[in-house]
Amino acid sequence: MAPADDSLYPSTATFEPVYTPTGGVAAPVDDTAAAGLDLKVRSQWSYARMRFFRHRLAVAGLIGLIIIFGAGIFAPLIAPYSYAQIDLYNILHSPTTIGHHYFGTDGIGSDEFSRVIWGIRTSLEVGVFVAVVSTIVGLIIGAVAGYYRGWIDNLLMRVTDLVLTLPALAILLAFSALVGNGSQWTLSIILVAFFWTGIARVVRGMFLSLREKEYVEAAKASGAGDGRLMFRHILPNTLGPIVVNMTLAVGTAILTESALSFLGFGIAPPTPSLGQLVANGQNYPTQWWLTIFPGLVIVLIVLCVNFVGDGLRDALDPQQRRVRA
Amino acid sequence: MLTYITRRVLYSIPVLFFSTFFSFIFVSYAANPLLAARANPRLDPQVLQILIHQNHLDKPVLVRYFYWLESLFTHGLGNSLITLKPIWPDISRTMGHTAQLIIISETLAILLGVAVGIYSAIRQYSFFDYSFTTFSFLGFAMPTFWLALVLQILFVDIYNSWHVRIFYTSGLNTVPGGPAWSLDRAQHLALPVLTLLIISFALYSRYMRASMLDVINSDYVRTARAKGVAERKVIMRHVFRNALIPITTVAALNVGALLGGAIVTETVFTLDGMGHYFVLALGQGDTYEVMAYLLVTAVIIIVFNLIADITYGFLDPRIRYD
Repeated sequence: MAPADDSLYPSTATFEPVYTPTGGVAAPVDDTAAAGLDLKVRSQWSYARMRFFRHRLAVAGLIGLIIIFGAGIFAPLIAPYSYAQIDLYNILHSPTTIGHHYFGTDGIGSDEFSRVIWGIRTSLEVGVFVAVVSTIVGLIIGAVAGYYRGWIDNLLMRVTDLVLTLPALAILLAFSALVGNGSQWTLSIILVAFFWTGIARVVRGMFLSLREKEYVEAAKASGAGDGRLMFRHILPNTLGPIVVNMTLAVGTAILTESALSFLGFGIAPPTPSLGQLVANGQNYPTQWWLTIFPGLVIVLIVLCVNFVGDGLRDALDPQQRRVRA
Repeated sequence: MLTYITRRVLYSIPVLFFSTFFSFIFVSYAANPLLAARANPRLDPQVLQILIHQNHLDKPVLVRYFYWLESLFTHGLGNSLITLKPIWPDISRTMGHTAQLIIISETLAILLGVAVGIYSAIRQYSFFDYSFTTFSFLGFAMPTFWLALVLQILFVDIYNSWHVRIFYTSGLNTVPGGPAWSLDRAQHLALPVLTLLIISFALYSRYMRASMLDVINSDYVRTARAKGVAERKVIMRHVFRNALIPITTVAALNVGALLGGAIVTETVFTLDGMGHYFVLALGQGDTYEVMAYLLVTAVIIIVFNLIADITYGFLDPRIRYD
């Protein structure tokens, strides 16, 4: 599409050049141009959707996530065995299609493929729970701190200072030692207790700058109350970065969960988790499949989440687009 | 500047107080140093009572925090609650090993990351750029412990198949307590260093590339090119020097993540470092050892945050601290 076609677009719409993943600068693809001036009215969200689906890596990441997380959601249907099934006649078998042991078997003959599938389910639960809950908590606290300033802002900043003085992994380890080896839900709550501060700081910063904008002042002048200003006028403008942050938090939560489980302070057996499977694989250095497969799945999940997050950043936050990766 | 530094140092005192206070409460509830002693049938219950009393374990947690503070100032990090030996010799020994690991891997990661970042930015969207972009995306997605294990598996396999010892996969020296700077130590440290190097390299090369592109597209670089400055000089004198400023901050603020990465790496390679020490202490429930680690790392992180801010002020004269 030649850039000259830009003149056909209505001046209200913002069309900035989009860096496509393949490189180079391209004008936005517009399928209405063929129909002359018969333009479809598009909402902000449909533009965002268009920008997202033009980002090839992001779409690939989305498809990857649907496949991997789909396997986790339908684990009872997909996994050929139960994750706790023991088969002492077939221990430490290398990957084979015989008996559907695609990822081999572990030291007590459990099917590694089934365990990985169930582990994905656990990781999915942790990742989504942590991302959603910590975003909601961080959003509320950050919004209040940024809008009202005052003691709550001070408190938030001091808590952040405290959290930032210790290595996150160390304090998380101590924290989960306190709560005890447990289910994915107790671990998720521990992660939320640390993850919300990051999101709260992002939201606070945006509220701090947006509350000084003219349109907020105009709304205030026409009699809007605090609640309306915060949730109707300011919040929608912060949603882009928040959604991006929430997506990336899924990946970070899964990485942190796996590190804690690996060190033995996270999710305890019998609940299978990917980090725990890698930790188990550490006991068998010559049986490579027990370490490689669960870890590879973690890498794939986080990679896909990051691609989707990157695509969302470009789609939802076009002004603050960073240099394309 | 001096007043700024003083203010920051003074502010870090209450921060340290509160962060140790809260972590002490967590850790004392989390860790029970008496578990092993109670399970030992040969330990006289009366002796146990004396030990409990001597270490103030019969007092409320709040009071114990102040006993810990006291031992901190009078006995230099206090004594272990399990072995009853002083903690400081252990901490200083393990800190040396961790420092060796982190400093070597960080130096290499920064040098390589900066070099690759510059080249990727100059040749944007080239094959070189794309390969390293892919590499750093992989680096961001990879759990440190898994990378460490994969390297370990690889070199165990090489040794098993060909009986060639390229790199060792655990420990610091073949003979414990061997020399700190020797070929033997290098063979032991290579894989842990490589692990941390790959993880940090992904971060630095990405930041350097973004920061270079940021500067390349700025007005004064266009001016420099317009007045006919040679391209090499534009890149080295105008772009590179300014692009380096954010990297110093990123590197200094990365120290917390590095110490976290060291916990995992040292555990996988059973290195006698601080992180390994911390995990062992936490597993045994030794409150004082855990607190010693948390305090030392908190001080390190605070110092590095301060260094980050000060160097930023020096490198970028637009920033003033008053």
